[in-house]
Order: sequence, then structure tokens, then C-alpha cells
Amino acid sequence: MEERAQGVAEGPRKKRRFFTEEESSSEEAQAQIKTPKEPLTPPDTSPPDMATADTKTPVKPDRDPFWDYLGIMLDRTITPEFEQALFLASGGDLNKAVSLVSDPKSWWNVQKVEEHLDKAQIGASAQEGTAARSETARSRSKTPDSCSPKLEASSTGSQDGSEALISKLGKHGRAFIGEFIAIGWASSKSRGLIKPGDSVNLVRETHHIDKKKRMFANRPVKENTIVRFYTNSYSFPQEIGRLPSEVAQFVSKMLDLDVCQFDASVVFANDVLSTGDDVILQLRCYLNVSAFSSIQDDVIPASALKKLGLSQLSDSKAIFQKAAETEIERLARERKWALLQLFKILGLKPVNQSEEQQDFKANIDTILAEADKEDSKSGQADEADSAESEEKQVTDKDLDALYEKAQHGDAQLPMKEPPPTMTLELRDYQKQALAWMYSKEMSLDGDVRKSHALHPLWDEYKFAKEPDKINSQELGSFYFNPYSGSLTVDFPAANTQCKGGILADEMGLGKTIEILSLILTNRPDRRNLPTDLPPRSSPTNLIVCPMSLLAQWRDECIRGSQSGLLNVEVYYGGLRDSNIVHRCQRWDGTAPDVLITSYGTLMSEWSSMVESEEKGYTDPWQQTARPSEARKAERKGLLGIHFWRVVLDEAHHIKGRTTKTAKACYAVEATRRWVVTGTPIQNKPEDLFSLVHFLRSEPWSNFTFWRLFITVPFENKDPKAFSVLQTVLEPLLLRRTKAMKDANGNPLVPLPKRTIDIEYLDFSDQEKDIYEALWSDSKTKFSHFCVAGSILSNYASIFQLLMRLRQVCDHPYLVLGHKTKTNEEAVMKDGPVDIQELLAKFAGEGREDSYGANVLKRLLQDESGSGAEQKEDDLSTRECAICFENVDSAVLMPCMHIACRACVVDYLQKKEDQGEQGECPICRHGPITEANLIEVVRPNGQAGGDKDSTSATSRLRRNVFKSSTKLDALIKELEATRKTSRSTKSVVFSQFTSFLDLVETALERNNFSFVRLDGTMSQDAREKVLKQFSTGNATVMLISLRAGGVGLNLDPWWNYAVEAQAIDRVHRLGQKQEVIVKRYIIRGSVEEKILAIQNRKNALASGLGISKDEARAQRVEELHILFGNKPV
Amino acid sequence: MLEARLPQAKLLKSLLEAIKELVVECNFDCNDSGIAVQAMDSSHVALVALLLRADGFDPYRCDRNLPLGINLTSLNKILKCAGNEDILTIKASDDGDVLNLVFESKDSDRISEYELKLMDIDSEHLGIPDTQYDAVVSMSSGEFQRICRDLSQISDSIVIDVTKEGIKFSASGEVGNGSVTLKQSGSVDREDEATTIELQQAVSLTFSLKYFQYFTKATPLSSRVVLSMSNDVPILVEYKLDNLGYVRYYLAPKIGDDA
Repeated sequence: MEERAQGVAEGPRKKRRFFTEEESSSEEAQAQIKTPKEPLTPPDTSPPDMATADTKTPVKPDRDPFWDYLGIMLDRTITPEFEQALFLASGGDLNKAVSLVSDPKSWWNVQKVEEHLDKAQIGASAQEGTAARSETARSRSKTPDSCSPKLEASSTGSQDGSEALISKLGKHGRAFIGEFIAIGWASSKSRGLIKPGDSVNLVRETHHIDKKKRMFANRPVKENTIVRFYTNSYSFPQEIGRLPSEVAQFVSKMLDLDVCQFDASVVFANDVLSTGDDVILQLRCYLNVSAFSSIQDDVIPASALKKLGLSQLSDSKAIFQKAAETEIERLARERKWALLQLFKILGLKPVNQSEEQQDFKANIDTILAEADKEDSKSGQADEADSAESEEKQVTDKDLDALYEKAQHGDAQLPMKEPPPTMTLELRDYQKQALAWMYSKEMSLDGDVRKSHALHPLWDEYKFAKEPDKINSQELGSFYFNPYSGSLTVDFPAANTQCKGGILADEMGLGKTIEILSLILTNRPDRRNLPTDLPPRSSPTNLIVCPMSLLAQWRDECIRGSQSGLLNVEVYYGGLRDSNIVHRCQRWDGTAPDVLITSYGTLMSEWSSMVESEEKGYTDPWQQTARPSEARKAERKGLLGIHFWRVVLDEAHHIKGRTTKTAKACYAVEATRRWVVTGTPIQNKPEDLFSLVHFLRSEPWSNFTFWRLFITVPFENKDPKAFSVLQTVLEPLLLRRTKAMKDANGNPLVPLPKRTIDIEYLDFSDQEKDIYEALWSDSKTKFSHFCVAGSILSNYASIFQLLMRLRQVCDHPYLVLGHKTKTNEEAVMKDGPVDIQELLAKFAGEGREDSYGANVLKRLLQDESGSGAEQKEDDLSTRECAICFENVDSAVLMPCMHIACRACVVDYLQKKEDQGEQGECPICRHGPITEANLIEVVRPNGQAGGDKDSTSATSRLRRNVFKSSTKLDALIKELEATRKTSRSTKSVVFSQFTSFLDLVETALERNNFSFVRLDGTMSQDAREKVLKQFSTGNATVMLISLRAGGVGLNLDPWWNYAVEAQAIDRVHRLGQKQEVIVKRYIIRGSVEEKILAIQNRKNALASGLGISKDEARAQRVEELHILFGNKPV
Repeated sequence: MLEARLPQAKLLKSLLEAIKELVVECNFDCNDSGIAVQAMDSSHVALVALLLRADGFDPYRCDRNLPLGINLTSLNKILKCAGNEDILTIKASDDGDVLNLVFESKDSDRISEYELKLMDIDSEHLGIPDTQYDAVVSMSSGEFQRICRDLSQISDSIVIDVTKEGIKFSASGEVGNGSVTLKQSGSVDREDEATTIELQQAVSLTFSLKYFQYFTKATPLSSRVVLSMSNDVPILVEYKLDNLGYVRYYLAPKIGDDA
């Protein structure tokens, strides 16, 4: 439709004739078929003709030299057009061509063609047009060697290149790049609809039909690449035929993506066409202005996406296959491919290529070609099983190997002293980091020469002059990136290389400090501003970090620099300043030096920006060439600023390149770009891609490129992937680990010892019963899946089985949770019981002097009056009615008789086993259940002090709570720690927050002061908790494994890495003291097996050596082990 | 001159499946708004009305009314030669006596052309009165198909009772009897499955199951079917083709003892 509209807008174009009759022809000349290009060339002296033909017929890869003699053989002069058409028709086979031409039935027969031409006489205008055309043809034939570099012009005008093009051509303008011949075929019978010289309209077969208007809407329509051509009639266009599929394949993409327009005209066609007849067309190609982008923009403009019903916001594949292409990436690849095809068929060659560059490119091209082949081969197979395919993961061993190269020679790096404005002392390796980072930022600053060299990945092409428009403007050059498919008219200078890198020091080495020292060292010099600042630039450093680190960054920045030197601001939530764009662009020192924001904030700003810009495209008149400078200037917030430097902290947050957060980070403009992370590769090489893309480190920031060189070989287990990855990392990455030695052989950071103990515990009988029941139940279910062969498809439910087993190991309540909870509520809450209240109850019943009341009174007296000694005396001297020993952890029965807790519980259990109701062993008062017991809390020895006296009433509590093996062990351990040193702090991890609830209760019972950190808490609350823990008197911190991300470990978690990270965080927290890590494992339970698998995973060098199937088999085997079908 | 193109040949194939059991030959009436078919079955008990609006085609061109007399058995033979995903173009000239069918494959340069001889068919166009039905039931077409298939095991007639509680299909025969009841359900999340009933008055009608089984050949065309009924009036069974048109079947109820 686009095409038709274009035709209308321009009005009927001048008809072009290709086969003209020579008026002043001799008998011999009459037999010639002439093109307008060479109107007067004598048949025997036509070298320029051949030259033109050569540049014009790129489709001849290895042309038989005899083609040149075809004319002689036939005793005719063959025009390039005719020759090319013939070449295509005969498939390059000279014999076939000759027979075609001499076959009287074929329309190729020269005689016939001439007869035909006789009918189609052309007027005098042909002469004039042809002269101009031959001239352009000649000038064009020279283009490849006439590479007078127009660098000055193009590079100075680079900033407004696209604007200039628009102003020349108009918003909907187009630029001619060349023409080619295609042999279409008729799709129906027709008579006299077209004749040579007629222009025809190319029309795409509709395929993106509105879902609502489509039949079988839930089934996808197969995409087609059909391009038809219609008669050029406004009121009544009639279909003639289709372009051949090899041409249609790329032409359709060009039309779909609004890259190109084609003006087609008939070169030759029979008067009477029947289905399948050839129609020779000449296609003139024009690039749309909207196809050009600025260098860093996305390849596919939002307007084109809109047409296809896509959006940046929604573009992501299923979460599980991050290595797969997204829809937009696929479009970009197709566009690139189509453009390459087009250039090839047009014979467009890049101008101004140095030899070096050509070598470099040729190298890449061969690899690309190979990869493409493999890609298409594996493509179908991939799709089939991609649904379940887990992506390849990188193992630790691989990682070490990867970093090795980047680390090579790190110890010898020079050091750089931080400026005196830095108040913190830097360690030696930190000074090295500063030197490295500083050099990364400065190395390219000085090199001005380079800005005039073309970027190695871009090719320069010349716009062609349109043949019969004599006064058409000179448009100059455009640039094409054959790897991304981007087109631009801005000069891509070589120094758009990244300034920055990946600071990947291991956790605890002080990356924050290193970045701060860089900020202080390389500050914008206000007195001596660089003259070539990019638009909207700002002296501000932007730091993007997870919400929980906002405050830490702010504090570090202030702490580490001379007071008042840095103006640090937090840009987050309610603290956002709507005027930030303007404030940041002030160069008089009033702009904030450091602006700290969170990933979430950035992401939401980006989302609203994209939304509003996409909305803009609903207006058809706004479909200009892309977010130009003007448009970018309208952007609000962080994305409207060109920062001095941007730093992404904990940058693995953007490892998924399709996530909105990642896209938002890519959109941030800054001259210096840094990412800071301890784990640049968490699972797979794609994690790193996202970082490199953010850094804009060409050429790796291009996903197509990355995919070809790294992802695909990696998936195919090609070891080349590794060496490529190493090459990528080497210049970009600085990574030191704690284990590394400095130049003198000393460890980088002396850290206190860390020991990891695993403590094996045994279930109590009761727990064992519960566990066994659940275990056999789970096992049955699992074997059921096994038999059905659906283990992997039921992965989630199996995982749930496992989780429940693990929970039982922690505490049976977690699994029986719902039952006990209702029970509890029905009876009474666990917790302190007020003695006064109980007493009052007795009093109310008029039994004031009863035994019960007396006991209570005594208790009350004990605590309010005489204090510790007397009470000790009172309670512990009392005899238990069952074992006749001194009462140990006393409980009160409802009748107020006192006995040992253990004795009573045993007794009640026995009763229950006999099927009788529980009762008081002393007065036979019943029925009593365990829940009715009231425990006397023994104040915690001498430690009790002030705390006990303030909460006197908490000395009695209901005994609903039941401990578990692990809890007991935990409490025991904590008690022991408390006894040895009161200042030692403990951190308790569990994956299950519900278990943490239980731990809380247990801690309360035992008078531990504790704090808790879990995923439900806001940033402020977390900060408060951490502070309280590190400075306050809380000795225990409960952390849910996922929230803390950051001891005591209660249940082994499937993924060792998560656990290890958690442990490491604690290690760092208590950097000054020795850290003991205890992991509690129940013997003979699933936990033991999980532990075994963890160890195996750690030990096994999986990864590169394992295929998808093998990995899958391994997973199944792991499950078998877990469910006890196989020994470890 | 008619020229109409469908992106998927499947649509026409399915349409033909839906009517070819009932009707052997009929006129396709083409005009500028679309293609319509109206035909009685050979025993003049059931009536098929089919409409394909011009929007469903791209492009669609028909300058003047053009009746195309087509033998559906022959058309079906030709359509068997088309792939489901092929692009289908039908063409007919004003004075010609053939229908031209072109199937184009989407990814290769393959084009197949067939010509179907047209015939002169006398048919009177019946005016179908615009009836206000007492009961209009919209339900899943798959469910309806299944009910008809299941009950055909029992008997060759089916009784439909619609009350405000629900719709009940029942059959009784020599082996015994059976019934299927669907309650009115307004499940929002599964729109395709829901059964909705608009009722002015309870109805109870008896039909020949054989015809219902012919009608349900249209099931692939739409996920929903609408049954519109009034006592002693032909039932209307309608399959809507989203925005493209519809297939409607009318069937007179069995009356009296032969039910």
C-alpha cells in the first residue's frame, strides 16, 4: 500500500524505455538491441559498454568470459540489460543462453524482441533521457575508485547529518541508491496490460492481519515473503505477477520494515502473458529517510515496530531462554540480511576502505558465513527442543580460565596515588585499579586523530545519482554497519569506542572505594572545558545501584572525600527532583557531582519515556526519522542527560538483556561508562553480553555479532568460544580475587579465618515418623512421574515435593503448618501468661486460698519481692511428683501442680498411647493436653538482670510451642556462644521465612535479643535493622536466604552459589573477626543427599563438556538420587 | 468480474466441509459486499445460509452481482489440491463459464491454477423472516458437537429443552435413553467455554440428529455456536466467523408422534 500511495503522491512518473529503435541505423545496426545508455556506440567498439555491464551485474559471481563474446557469436551487440536478463534466465549457462536466443519459440529470440520493439516505438524524448543516463552510468562505473575522501565535510557535519538529509529530502523523502534487474513471473493470464517501459507497483502480500479479522485467530499465519506487482493505475490496479522468490525474500523485508522503496518498471514482457511467463523488471531502489538512524539508536525504529504490532516494552522471550533472540533482534537480523542482499545485487561496494579494514572484514565475513550455515542447520532442531532446553551454564572452572587472561599481568599494573581530596587510604591493589581505570578513561581522550577515521565496523557508501533526474541533488555518503544492519548518515568515527570497563574485583576488595577514587581523580575541569562536549552533557556522575545500597553509596562518597567537596544527591522515590535535567547541565559547579539512583527508578523513567515516545508514533505525521537530537532533548529525567560518567553497581542486575531494567540502563547517555560487579558472568556468557552492550564496546555490543561468535559456538561446545570470550574480556575487565597475591607475593587482603562446619543431627522419633510418612508419599509420587516418563515436564511439582521434605527437616510445623495453626488459635496463643491474671481467675471463682492460688502467689512474691536466690531456692528445690528429683524446667498443670516438663510430657504421651485422656499425675485432674501446660520460665541466670524484672509477667508461658531437632541444636549453639562471649554476633539463615518465624519464637523463649531481615521489608527498615545489628545489643540476626543474598545455615539450598554468596556476605560483615559457619544437616534425610549433590556439582567440571541431553540426563539422575532410587 | 483472495486456503476448505454434506450444488452469489450462499438440502428440511463479507478477503473485487453455480463435490475435489497455508485466489469473469482458482505457496515460486466449470442452477431465494426467538443459547461449538455425537448413539432424534436453569439435550431409543444438561455459566475467564441463555419463554423441541451432525461439521470455523429456538419454528444454528461472516443452518422441528 505504501508503494501505491507513493506513486500517487508523485504523480505518474516518466515512462522509461529500454529498448529503443535506432533511427539512423544501417541494416546491420538495425539488428542491434540498444539501450538508452549506449545510444550511439558502434557495435565493435564498445569497451565502456562492457565496463558498465561489469559494475552493473553483480549477480555474476563467476562469469564465463565467453559472455563477452556472446554478441560476436550472435552477431549482435548485446546490451548489458539484455545480457543480464539473459544471464539470469539461463542460470549462467552459456549454451542454454545461446539456445534460448536462437530458439524461434522463445521470446528471447532476438528476432522476436525486435519485432516487439518495432511496435513499441518511442518518441523523441528518449534521446534526451538516454544521454543523461549514459553519463550517470559512466560516472557511477567510476565510483569505486574515485574515493576522494570527503571526510572533513562528513565528519564536521556529523552531528546534524540526519537532520541535513531530512531537510534535503523532506520527512518522507528517499534517496536513490541503485537499480537492478529482476525476472518476475506472471501469476495470471493477461493480455496487453503492460508493455515495456510501463511502471508497475510493488505490493506486499498482506500477512500481518488484524487478529480480530482473521479466521482461526489462535493459529499463527505462516509468514510469507510474497511481493506482487500491479499495473500502475490509481483507480484500477491489476495484478500482473510476482517477483521471483529469491528477490522477493529481501524485497519483502525491505518493504515490511520501511527501509526501502522500489520503483519498478517493465523492461520486457510478452504482450500476452500466461501464468508463469517471465516479466523482466527493472527495480530502482530508494532508501527511506526513516531507515537512517543515529549511530547508537536501535536499529528498528519504533514506527516500524508499531506497524508490526510490537513494542520495546513487551519484547522479551520466555524467561527461560535468554540466549534466544527476541522478536526485535530477529527483525534486526533480517533487515541486515536483506540490506546485504540488496547491496550485493545492486553491486554497491563500500568506498574508501583501507586494506587493513578489508582484511579484517574478509576475516569476519568468512566466519559469519560459516556461522550462518550452522545457524540455519541447527535452527530447526533448536526450535523443536528449545522449549525445554536449559541454556548452557558456565562452570566455576571455566570462569577461572576466562578471567585468567584478563588477570594476566594485573599484579604488575602501575599504581596511581589518589588526589589529596580523597580522605581514605587506598591499598596498593586499589591504587592499581585507579591507574587502570584512569588510563581507560584517558587513553582515548587525547587521540583526536582517530575521530577522523571511519569506525572499523562501518562501511561508507555513496548515494547514487538518479539516472533521469538531471538536477537531482548531490547527497554524499551514507554508512552501513554490515553486522548490525544499521544505516546512518552521521559519520561513525572510530573513537565512539567505549571509555570504561568492567570492574570485577571479588567481593570485599573495595570496589566502591576504587570507583570513588576514580570519581575524585578524573573530574571535569571547569576552567578548561573540552570544546566538543556532546549536547545535553553534564558534569554529574550517575551511580545506579540496588535500592539497598543507595545509602551506603551516599555515605561512602561523603566519608571518602574531603568534606564539602562532593555534592552527593540521592535520586530515588520521593526525593526525585523534577528539575534534575537542568540542574545537572550546569557547569558552574552547582550541579550535583554524584547522583545516586536505583535500578527501579531508572527503569520506571525509561518505561514512561518509551511509552510516551511510542504514543507519539500513533500520529502518522510524526513518523520522522527516529528520536533525533531534538526529540532526545525533550526527554525528562535521567535519560535526558548526557552524564560525565555512569557507574552501574552490582551490575549483574542487568544480566538479562531483554529485561526492562537492562534496556533502561542501555539508554543512559554518558561519556564514561563503568560497570561494577563481583560476578560478571553468573551462569552463561549472555550475562556478560549485557554488560558489554551497556559499555557500548564495539563490536561486541551487537547481539548478532555476539551470538555468532560466542553464543552459538558455546552452545556447540566449540572451544573457540572461550578464546573469543577471553579476547573480549581482556581489555575490558579488571578482576582481582582475595586469593591473589600482589607483586611481592603477599595476599591482597588479609582476612580473618573462616571455617565451615557441617553438623549432623538426628531426627527425634516423632519427627522421623512425620518425615518418613512424607518421604514415602513423595517417593510414590515421584515414581509415578518416573513411570509416566514425565519427570522433566513435572519439574515444578517435584521441586515442591523436595521443598516440603526439606521443610520437614527444619520443623514439622512448616509442613503441617495449616493444621497446627488453627489448633493453636483454638486453644490459646503461645506466649507469656500473666500471673496476676491467673490469680484473679482463681479469686473470681472464690478459691482464693486453694492450692493453685497459693502456688501462684508464691511465684508472684518470688519475683516482685526477694529476687533471684529465693526463687531459685523455691522452684528448684521443689520435687517433681513423677521422678522425685528436683524439678527441671518446671511446668504448671492447670491444677497448678508442678512437675518436670519432660516427665509430664512422657506421662501424657503414655496415656495417649493407651488411648486414655491425659490427666494430672498428682490429683487426677483432667483432661490435660500438652497445650494446657504452663511453663515456668527460669530467668536466665545472672544474665537476666534488668530485662527480667521489667517483664515479670513473662515468667509463665503456655506451652504450645514445640521445638524441633534443628531448633534445639541452634539454640544450644547460640547459648554456648553467648556463654563464651557476649559480644559475638550470630546470623541465622533459612530459605523459609515461616521457619524463621519459629526460630523467632524459640529465641524469644530463650531471651535472645534479635533482629530480622527478610524480603518483605522496605529499604529503610532494612537499613535500620542492619544498623541495630551492628551497633545495638541484638546478638542474633535472622535472614531469609534470598533477601539477605548476603553463619548459621539451617537448610541446604539447591544452588550452592546462592548459599556460598550468603556465607561470603557474612564473612565480609564480620571482617575483623574469625567467622565460623555452621550448617545443620539432618542425618539420613533428603538434606544429606542435597549436600552430596552440591559437592558433586562443585567438583564436576560440567559446562562446556556437556550437551543438552547429557545435562538433562544428569538432572534426572540427580532427582533419582534425591528420591533414593540410586546411591549417590 | 470477481477477484477475491484469502491468505489461507484453509478457510474455504473448512467452509466447504461445513456445507457439502447438506448441499450438492448451489449458487454462490457474489456482489460488492461479499459472497453469499443460500441453499436447501435435497429433502427440503434444512436450509443453509452462508455469508462471507468482502472484508475477509484482501483484495476483494466484484463489480456487479454475479451468481456462480457450483457443484460442491467438484469444488471440493479441486480444493483438495490446495495446501492449508496456500494463498487462494478465486476469479471469475462476468461472462465466463468457469471459476478460476489459484493456489500460491508462500515460500516458493509455485503456483497452481485450476478451473472449475460453472453450471446454471435454478434456485429461488427464500426470504428468511427476522424472527424473535424465545430462547437463544450460546455455547461452545465443540461441546455441541460432542453432545450430538454422543446422543446419536442412543437415537436419531434429539429433544432440546431450554429453561431458565439450563439447556437439556435428551434422546431415547431402543437401547435406553440419555441426556446432557448444561447449566448456564458465566465464567469470565473461560469465555469460550461458557454457556449463556437468553430466555423469553421455555421451549421444548425435537429434531433429527442426523442433520445436527451435518451442522456440526462447521465446528472448526468457530469456537462458539448459537442456537436460537422458538416452539414450532425452525431452529437457527449459527456459527459466526468472527468479523468475516457466518454460517447459518435452519432446521424444522419434528412435530407430533413421529418425534
